[in-house]
Amino acid sequence: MRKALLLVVALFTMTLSYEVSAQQRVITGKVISEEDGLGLPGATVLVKGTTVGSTTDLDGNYSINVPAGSNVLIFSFVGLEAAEESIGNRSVVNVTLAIDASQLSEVVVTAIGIEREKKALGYGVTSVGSEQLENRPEQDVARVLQGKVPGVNITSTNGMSGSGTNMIIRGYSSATGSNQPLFVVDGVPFNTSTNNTNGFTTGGATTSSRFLDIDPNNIESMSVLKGLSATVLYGDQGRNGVILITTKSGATKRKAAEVTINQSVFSNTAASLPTYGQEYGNGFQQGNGNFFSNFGGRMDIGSTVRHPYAISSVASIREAFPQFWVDGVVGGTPVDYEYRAYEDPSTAFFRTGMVSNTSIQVAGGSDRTGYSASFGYTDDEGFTPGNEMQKYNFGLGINSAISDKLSVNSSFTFAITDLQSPPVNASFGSGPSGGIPSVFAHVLYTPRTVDLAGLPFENPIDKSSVYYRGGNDIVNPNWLVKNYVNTSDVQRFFNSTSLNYDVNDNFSVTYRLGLDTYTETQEARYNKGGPSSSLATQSGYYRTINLKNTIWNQDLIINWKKEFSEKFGMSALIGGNSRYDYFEQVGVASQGQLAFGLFRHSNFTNSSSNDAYSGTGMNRTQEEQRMGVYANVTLDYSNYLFLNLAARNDWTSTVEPENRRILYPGASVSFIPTTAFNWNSSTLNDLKVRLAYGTSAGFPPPYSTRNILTQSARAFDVGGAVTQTHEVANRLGNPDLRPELQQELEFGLEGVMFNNKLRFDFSMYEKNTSDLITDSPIDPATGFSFTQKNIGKLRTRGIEFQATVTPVSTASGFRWESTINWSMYRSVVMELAPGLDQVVISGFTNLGNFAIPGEPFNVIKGIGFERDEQTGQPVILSNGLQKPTADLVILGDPNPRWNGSWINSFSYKGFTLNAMIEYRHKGDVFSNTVTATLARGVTKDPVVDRELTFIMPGVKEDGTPNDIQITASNYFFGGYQGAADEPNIFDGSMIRLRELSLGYELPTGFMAKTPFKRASIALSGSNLWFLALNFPPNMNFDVDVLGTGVGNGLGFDFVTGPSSRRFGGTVTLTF
Amino acid sequence: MVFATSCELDLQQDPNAVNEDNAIPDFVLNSIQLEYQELFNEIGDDGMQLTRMINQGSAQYEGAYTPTRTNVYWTGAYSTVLADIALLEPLAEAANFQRHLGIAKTIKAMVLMHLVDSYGDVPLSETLQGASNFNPKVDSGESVYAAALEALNQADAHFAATSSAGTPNDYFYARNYGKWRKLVNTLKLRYFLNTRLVKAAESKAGIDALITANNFLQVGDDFIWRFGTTRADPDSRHPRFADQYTSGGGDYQSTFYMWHLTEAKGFDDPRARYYFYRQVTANPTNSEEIECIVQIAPPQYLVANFVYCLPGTRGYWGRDHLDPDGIPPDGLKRTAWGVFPAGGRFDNNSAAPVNNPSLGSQGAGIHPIMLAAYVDFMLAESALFLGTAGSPKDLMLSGIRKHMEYVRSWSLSTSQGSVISGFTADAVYATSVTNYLNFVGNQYDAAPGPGLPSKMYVIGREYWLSLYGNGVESYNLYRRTGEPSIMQPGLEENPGKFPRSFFYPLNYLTTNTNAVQKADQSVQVFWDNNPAGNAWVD
Repeated sequence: MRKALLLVVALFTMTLSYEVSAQQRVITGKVISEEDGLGLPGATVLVKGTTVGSTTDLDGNYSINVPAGSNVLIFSFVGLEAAEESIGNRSVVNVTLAIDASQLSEVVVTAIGIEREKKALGYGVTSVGSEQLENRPEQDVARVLQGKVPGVNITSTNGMSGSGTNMIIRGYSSATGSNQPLFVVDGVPFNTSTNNTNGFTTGGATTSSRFLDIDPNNIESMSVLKGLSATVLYGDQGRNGVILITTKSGATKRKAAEVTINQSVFSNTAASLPTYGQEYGNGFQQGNGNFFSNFGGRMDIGSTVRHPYAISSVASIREAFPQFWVDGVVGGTPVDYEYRAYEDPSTAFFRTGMVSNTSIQVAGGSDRTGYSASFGYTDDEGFTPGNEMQKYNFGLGINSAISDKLSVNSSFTFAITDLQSPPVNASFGSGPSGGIPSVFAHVLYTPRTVDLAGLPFENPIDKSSVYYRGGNDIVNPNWLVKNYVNTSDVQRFFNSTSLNYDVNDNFSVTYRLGLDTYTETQEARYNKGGPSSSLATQSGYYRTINLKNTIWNQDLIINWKKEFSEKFGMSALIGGNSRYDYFEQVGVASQGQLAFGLFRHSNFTNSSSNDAYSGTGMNRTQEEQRMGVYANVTLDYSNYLFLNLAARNDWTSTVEPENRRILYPGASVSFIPTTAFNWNSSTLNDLKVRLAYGTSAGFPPPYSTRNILTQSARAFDVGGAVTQTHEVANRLGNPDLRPELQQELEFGLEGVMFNNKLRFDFSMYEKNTSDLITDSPIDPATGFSFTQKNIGKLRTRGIEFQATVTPVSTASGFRWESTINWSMYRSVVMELAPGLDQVVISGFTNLGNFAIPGEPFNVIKGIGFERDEQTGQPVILSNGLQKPTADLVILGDPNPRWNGSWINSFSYKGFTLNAMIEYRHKGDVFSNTVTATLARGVTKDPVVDRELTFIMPGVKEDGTPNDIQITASNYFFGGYQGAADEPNIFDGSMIRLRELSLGYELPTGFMAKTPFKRASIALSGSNLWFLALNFPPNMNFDVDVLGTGVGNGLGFDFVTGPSSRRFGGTVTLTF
Repeated sequence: MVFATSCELDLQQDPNAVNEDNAIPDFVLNSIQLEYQELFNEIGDDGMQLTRMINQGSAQYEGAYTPTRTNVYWTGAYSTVLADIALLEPLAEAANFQRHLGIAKTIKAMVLMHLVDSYGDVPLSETLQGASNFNPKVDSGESVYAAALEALNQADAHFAATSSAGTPNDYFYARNYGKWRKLVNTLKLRYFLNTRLVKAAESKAGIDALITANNFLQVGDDFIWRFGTTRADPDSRHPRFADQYTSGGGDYQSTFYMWHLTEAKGFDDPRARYYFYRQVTANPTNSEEIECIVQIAPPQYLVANFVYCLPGTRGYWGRDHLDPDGIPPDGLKRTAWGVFPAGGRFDNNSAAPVNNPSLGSQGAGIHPIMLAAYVDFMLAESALFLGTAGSPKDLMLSGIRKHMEYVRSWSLSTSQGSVISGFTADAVYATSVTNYLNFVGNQYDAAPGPGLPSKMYVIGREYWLSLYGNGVESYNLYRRTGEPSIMQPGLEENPGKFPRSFFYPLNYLTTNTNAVQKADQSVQVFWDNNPAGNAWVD
């Protein structure tokens, strides 16, 4: 991996000049890397005491003319320990270079693709190698990263294949702006938007995030720049951290020609389904009936009920199924329907999906040109019927030295990502929001006496949905997955091309052009005949949206370096950047389906450019232009003191001209006391202290500074007289809007101890955002209901720690390596504008994440329990249930107290066992899945005798202890799904076995007898076990869910769906 | 080549929208009218719930009417209707669009009165100034009411002006400005009636003058919002129809209101079949569908013998006041909105599920914002308390008759017409109206008597029975007169404080430095000097 990081360096050294003198001898040989035993291309060979040098070719071979009198060669390669060899009377000198044991010599990629040895960095950077990314069961690169980088919090929206993923680095720095990091692939920005054309309550809860188009198997390496000091050169784009990805196609390292083939197969199951009860069936108050709820009688007494389809209130259902009438006489006597425990949804509805991934890598080249081609194909079948993702990724990379001075490096990626999925929409335990379909809305609380697998789901006459409820008012989940489909088809082209010109050894110029462009076609195809409170759903709905997103990015960078003396050196860079983003969306939505099953707009009675669910227009464009100039100077003294100064000046198009320009400075220092004071010992091998300061800014989204009018071309229609409207928009344009300003101070300590057996990296930081751009509600009496304003301050403090220990490393080859990642952050709202008490960040105005001065960012507010002033006990009303508060109260803090992971790796003779355990401490979660299942009595909870009565803990309104006896139905249903939100809040502490794998690499001796160079086989699984410590046990709840979708919201589950568990194996062959 | 020029940064103008320079006054006036009817629906919904015309599904008033709940009043009034009126006024003045101004200012007056009726003191003089004043202070309710009266006077002048340009789209009266002037007079009547408790003399003088002018809304002049049958893009149907006639469910009717219309008098109100549509014509017997049939009424119901759970035996199936229970499978069983005013089905004993948008008059209902019948009820109250001209009894009976005839004639004009006339002949209806009037007339004469605490009770109860679909007037009536008294209590023994005005909404409290919340919902608006507390309104 380490070699792989060495990009441009190799190119530079290729062109080292050398002198030829009269009295000389020619020495040849091969430089071999200890890491893999292969030849090392691009290594430097110097004749000691002279400037005579050479570099190795692609196979690691070199040839050098050694002047008379010289007898020692110095072999070096960045990241490897340099070696000196006496030539003696040899003419062939082979040498093996070992990895530089010091972690501080590791080379990492930093901003703008600059490579640095870690010791020179004054800020924290975490590198993730391909071995931590390849052949994972998950195809979403962000999910593969979960738990691996301290300070990076990653949450899946749910476990469906292709669902969106949220990524937050070092807490929150913006209230209503984006907190998602910038992805830079092969040096140019890569759009990772979540194009949720609909919000989480209108059907867009789990829309894909577009880092899905990255093939994790084509990633050579990844660097995570977390602090602002690290990202200064990216300007405002880097304010939320930067994920730098080098693809295999984009890597400039030349490799020996080889072909690698991976084939993986995994199973995919729903991990977090409740454990269903076996005692009680459908009903309420212990009476049997066709309720949503499962508080009916006992199932084990052999009772029967009338067949639900025969007693339906809907005549067409009663008539469509003569088989449910005695002797087939419709209107006669309904047949008996056994009141017993039927197959539960975990098998009656959910399935085991198969995930298969094929990936082929071809690499090779000559001494001046290298290439890499890759192909990946994934078929990822979800655990939910109807959910499947297919991905094709083509990658091609070429790097070539056109002349000694000019080289070119270009990488192309073409990705096709086709996703189909049943719709997911927020649900609150009694159906989806607004009648907009959601696959999970009704399935989890299927009453135990309802035969989900066996009941017909389709009316044979008109193909509409049929189900057990008397009014047929909920859609049959089996009908839903067959008839409601959301699709997203993406075609994406990505290119990064760099031209590099070395004017001389100290001076080079690079021009880099990036183009990231994709089209995404999203469709919603909902057949008519599904019961819904939304007429659009009921009558059949077809929505097509075409999205186009393009980023043109250009950088021109001038590099200069100079060694002023043995001890004092400097490198400098100045550059300019231009980034242009263009987004376009065109959509049509139709309702009133004519022929069932046909999805063409011409098959619908009514077409519109407004989405029926969100009510918003679907035709829009958006442009954004950024320009920046930046400079970076690094001074190093004697290899132990490094000073880095950086600044960027940006001009951006989203604000009015007077606020358009902004300068971001940054500085960092790295000091190696072990080198400076010669402290190095076997106990303390290396120690580095760093201090960094960085700044950034966040610009508002486009078009926030000016007022607009809302126009409707079809506002009202009576008898065909359609009328139009113009109205003042709700948003007050703010011409004075300025960028929000961020500053961060970071301190870090890195060390290597005990003969390299312990390596650690510790960071602490404080990040302050002032002039927060806030979607600030304003008093509607001003004439507008919100504006974007620069108000308030947000402060985030955090600690990150990563340590790797090698407790055992024996001569026989057994090695145990153990890594701990730990991080915490506290984001606190320091102030808002005077008079503004709170801002809703996400969710609803009466249940959501709020920013409140003095409180942690994103606290959850909702309706709580009115509490007795004396005892603090909930007040119980005469109906035996808690009294809700009249006003909203803070119910919890969804931010985890801390997150940790523990990764263990054991290797022995080709076998490798890896296990990764994650722990999340606290962080409240509001779960409607609990409401939907526990409150409705379908889970094994409550394990109580439901014939008894119950008393809700609390005091009555007169202050005396509550003694009002209520039924099990009222206790659980009323208790969880009552007027208050408070009972749905749970502590989100959770332990998880995130990854487990066992691999075996076939011995090379054996491989020599085959056509293959290497072969390995691995079994692996993700999310194999987890436990939410303080959730009701039979819920099996997984807190890795985000009901408000990708964005700034946190800690909500609106029956958003279970998480995924994957298990399978991979075969890798190289030849 | 490499770097863009600075003009490429000039991308601030939203290419996806029109801006204020392009505002078309006709379109702005359309917005004002459409937005007003939405505001009326929001406010009226709460009024109907509080006066037991439909069910309120929270156990206590505080839980039902939280500060969050009335956010929509505040946005609906200020940043929607009033902001658009403020946009229109200068444009209309510049173009001499007198009629546009008349319609806009009439609506403005109604909105201002709704705000005061809902909250008491509200901002006005410092409002609608955008970034120049983020924290408008409140003005006294009295001064805002006065501003409403002033707006009505101005509107009247705009309608009367001889020189006017423009042709506004008038959803209400199709540009019959004489009818607008009648509406203005009727709204002034409402103004004086609402303020009669605190300014009796002024009210009497004002109403006397209005009676002399005799230019109120008369039969045929009803101020109603008409909905259509278009289901999508845009859904132009009555919102209550759209909620209920898609998949059933939706609003629960009030047990108490249905009882009054079907059982209380010993015979059916002639309007019952127009107001309510029964999906089943027999009472449920299965407690899985309606739990209260196996439960005992709470003590506060038993002591005064209030109707509980089901009124009668004929399938009128709703909910008692403040019933917070979950929803059993009764969506296609409970009583639905009928043809008047929601545009649903006329109840001809067809007893079928309403999960079909093609049923009834398909949502082509109305909002009865101000009817000619209401004028008579208001004059009856005025005659009784202020001694203005007319016999309270005759005015009341005239109000009832007008309303009953209006319900029938309007319903006949819908696509349900043939169903209605096929079920009830004109003569049969007329007879039932006459019988009803005789009964109520006798009751009025007998009051005070058993169960009839006062003559105003009879007037108030009959007005309330005529206000179906209009919670704005019923809530004001209830606070102003305490009638109809003997209202069905909440199921919870202590329902909390009945809102004599609402809490200030959260979107005002959390954004405006000058906002101060009231102590509780018992705070009375300026025109309500009746005794404090729930005793006045139970």
